[in-house]
Amino acid sequence: MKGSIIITLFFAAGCLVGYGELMPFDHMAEQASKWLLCGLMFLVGVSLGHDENLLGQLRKLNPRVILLPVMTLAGTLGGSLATIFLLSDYSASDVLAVSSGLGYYSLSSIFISEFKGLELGTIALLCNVMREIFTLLFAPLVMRMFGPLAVISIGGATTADTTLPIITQTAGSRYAVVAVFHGCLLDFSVPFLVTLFCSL
Amino acid sequence: MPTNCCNCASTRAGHIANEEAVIKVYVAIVLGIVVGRLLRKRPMLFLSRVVMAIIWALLFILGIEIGANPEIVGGFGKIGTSAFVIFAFSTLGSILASWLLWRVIRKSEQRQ
Repeated sequence: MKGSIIITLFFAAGCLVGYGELMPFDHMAEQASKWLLCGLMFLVGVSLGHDENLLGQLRKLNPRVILLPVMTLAGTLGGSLATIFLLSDYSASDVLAVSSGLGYYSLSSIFISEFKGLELGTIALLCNVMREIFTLLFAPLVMRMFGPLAVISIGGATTADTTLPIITQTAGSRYAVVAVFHGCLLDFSVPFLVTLFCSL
Repeated sequence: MPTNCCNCASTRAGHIANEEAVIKVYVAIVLGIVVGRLLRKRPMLFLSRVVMAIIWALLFILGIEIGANPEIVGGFGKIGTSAFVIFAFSTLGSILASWLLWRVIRKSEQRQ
């Protein structure tokens, strides 16, 4: 819990700094975040390689976890379909296109802005940013309430990169492999899914 | 008035050109696994602390990116509400679906 609060504070401080233009989000910040991400992934790799029990633990994983990406996709699309009763302005294909971004906000918002207009594109950006932030902030809570698979599932397509460290820390390193598999598979599916629902 | 408006454009272009960055990330993780294997005999208790510190820094920068993006800040009316509703329901759906799988797996393991 303490960890989540600190994370939220850093994120909120960043929002305020960006909004107040105290520090510009410029080329340097972008480069810095890319290098930090690479460094982070390197360290996650080190902790995976360093863990002597990892291979043994991996064998203990139930092979049924391979189904997880399918469950994530089915749950996401099913859940978003329920919103057409609340959001009268958008069609079923609109909400399916937005939710099939699966947290991959940059790509899905660009696609949707292109095919369905800027308004839905911005919704896709916000919706999928929210999904990523929710995963980063609430992974420990979701872990306690719904178990390790849900922690991976909420990350959607981001579980092989940006949300991998938080998943490894909350669900344990043996789930890192599941997260990478889940993230890679969904990552590749996002462009196909988004274009599919845009063309409906 | 000096605006930061070029930010959003450059960020978007940056995201499109992300393929290269993604490859770098995977190279980094593989390199890390190799280094971790080599240093297996040494205790590395500081590792999770450094990981946490980098996560804080990255979220701070993500916050700056979001706070400085007028499209996102200005969109927190109707657009923001719609985005939140779709986010909440789709995430809840995926939580329930994965929880179901988790329960099936746990049950089959208890039976063994």
